[in-house]
Amino acid sequence: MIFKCTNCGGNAVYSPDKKMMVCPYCGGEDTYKRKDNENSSYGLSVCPECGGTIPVEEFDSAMHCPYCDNSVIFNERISNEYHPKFIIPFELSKDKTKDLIRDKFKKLTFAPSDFLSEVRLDSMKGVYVPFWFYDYKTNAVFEGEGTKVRHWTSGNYRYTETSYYHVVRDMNIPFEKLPADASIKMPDQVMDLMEPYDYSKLSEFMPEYLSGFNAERYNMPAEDIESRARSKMEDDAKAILRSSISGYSSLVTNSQSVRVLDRKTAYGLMPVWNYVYQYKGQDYPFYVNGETGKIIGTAPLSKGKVWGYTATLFVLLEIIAASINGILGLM
Amino acid sequence: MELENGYNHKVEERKRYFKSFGFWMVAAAICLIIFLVMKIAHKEEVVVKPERNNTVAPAQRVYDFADKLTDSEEEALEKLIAEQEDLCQCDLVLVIINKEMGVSDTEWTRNMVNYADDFYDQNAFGYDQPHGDGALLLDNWYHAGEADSQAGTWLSTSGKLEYNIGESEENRVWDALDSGFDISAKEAYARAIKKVAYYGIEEEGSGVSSLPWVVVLAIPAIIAGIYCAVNMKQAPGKDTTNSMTYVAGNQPQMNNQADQFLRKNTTKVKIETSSGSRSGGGGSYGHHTSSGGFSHGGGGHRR
Repeated sequence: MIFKCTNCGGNAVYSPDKKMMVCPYCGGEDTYKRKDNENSSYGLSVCPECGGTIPVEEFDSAMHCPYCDNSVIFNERISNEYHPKFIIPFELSKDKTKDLIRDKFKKLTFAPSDFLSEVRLDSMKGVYVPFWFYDYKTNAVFEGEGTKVRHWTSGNYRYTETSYYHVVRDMNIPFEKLPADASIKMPDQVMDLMEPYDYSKLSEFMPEYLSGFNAERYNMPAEDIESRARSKMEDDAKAILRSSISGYSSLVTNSQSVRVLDRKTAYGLMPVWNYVYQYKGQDYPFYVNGETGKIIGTAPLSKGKVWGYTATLFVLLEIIAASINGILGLM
Repeated sequence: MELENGYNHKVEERKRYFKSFGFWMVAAAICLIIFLVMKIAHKEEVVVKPERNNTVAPAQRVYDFADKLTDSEEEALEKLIAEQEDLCQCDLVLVIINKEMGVSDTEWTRNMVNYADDFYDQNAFGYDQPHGDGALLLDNWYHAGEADSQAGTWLSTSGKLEYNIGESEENRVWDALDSGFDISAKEAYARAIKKVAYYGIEEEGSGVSSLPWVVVLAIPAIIAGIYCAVNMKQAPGKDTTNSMTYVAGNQPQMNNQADQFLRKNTTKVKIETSSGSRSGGGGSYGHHTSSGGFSHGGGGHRR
């Protein structure tokens, strides 16, 4: 499907700034209609607008036609079992994201000259990344032995009193929407660092949100990646148990368990801006949380600038130090 | 031209470079100009060294009462002292004795101080005036190398050397002396005298305030290294979640919380009291007034 402007026939896209469908050609707001005549299959799709062949990959659910640049959404990859329960629409437009990247890296002296150039940053793409969300009702129990130590001095002796306690904590901890990305393309570690998303912006899924962006359906079922969410949940539950115990000089764990009483999963899409900077044959990917603006990625360093700037500073400081030293010697 | 939508990276880069270093370039230029102007002005100054102004004190500088030096060694030391005196404008006197000065550190120190100060005062040494700028190196060989050795050296300073030579300078004199003794007594005295004279030369304004070149090179290198390291450091991103981020309602429900006392045990350790420390001989003696009523500084070094 594509969304067409009812005023001019252009491709209407979702505007993060205006929070509505906008036609970038005539400026029409919420003036659109859906056009469904796609014919897509694995690896191949025909653009409903120009009839061009779109090189669709296995998990793509929305992308731009390489010929007419219309934003095409593939129905069968957002329907039935692939219908997302919710979505966080892009809050940050491309221009705002560019500003965020410039702000973050403008002080990076040794980055290559064109690292923050308009042309390079313009290649940034907005992607809806598929996530599985896990709800767990858990029961976490800690049982161990804690000590409290007291010191005092009397006469010529220093006394140490150690008191031993049996420590028990039994808590019900409900975890809600623990995320794990369901995209092979997106590195797990990076997607984990993109967290947290602000769930107050969660919306019911509508295909309009995908117009103007790329998107994927989930690449694997919830069970395949649950170990990531479960491990996160268990670590958090143990940390909560520990944080409820205080006042002891030492604590020995006798037993600790986290039991899942109930579990639910849900599928949703999260917004990510992806900027890939290529430098000397190597890719430097940057990921920006399309809702909160959190940036993950490291810029390449230009060896020429590292040496040039450092040497300049050294030479200038050396001139200053040697001159001052010479002046002191003459005084 | 590397124009991309009107954006020329080379021009931008140049601007950024000068923005980063503009201040430092101006500062370096100002420092360099000031230095060069001062250097030229300094060259034009005619440095007039004051003449020795003491006709009372004897011309002899080496007094070998212990007979530890040959005549030619004494002659060589006299010549060396004359050269060094000219450089530092201080009288430099060497007295070698073989005299009982006391076994205890206190007694030894008192006797050495008195002997050195009195010898200097009675002969009215001093370059700028009688009892003026100078130093006396008193070396005692009494029972040297034996169990009851009273051998050691005392440095009595006067005038500007009294203020230029403190404990750390004295230690350098002793280092020079000890390294010379590995060769000969004459070499030890020569090295010690040169070191004493050095502190007089610096006071005359020959660069006493300037730093060693190693430091001048090292400081900018360290700053530039830190600048490089700080600007190269990048973190891909921080984990901004915590254990409560995904807890519904931000409030776990506590079913059971128990902290039940089991037992206690007590241990005691006797507190050890430390004993007093012993003091050693020699060391810096600080400023004092001799029996002749003149101010001296200095310190000693037993062996």
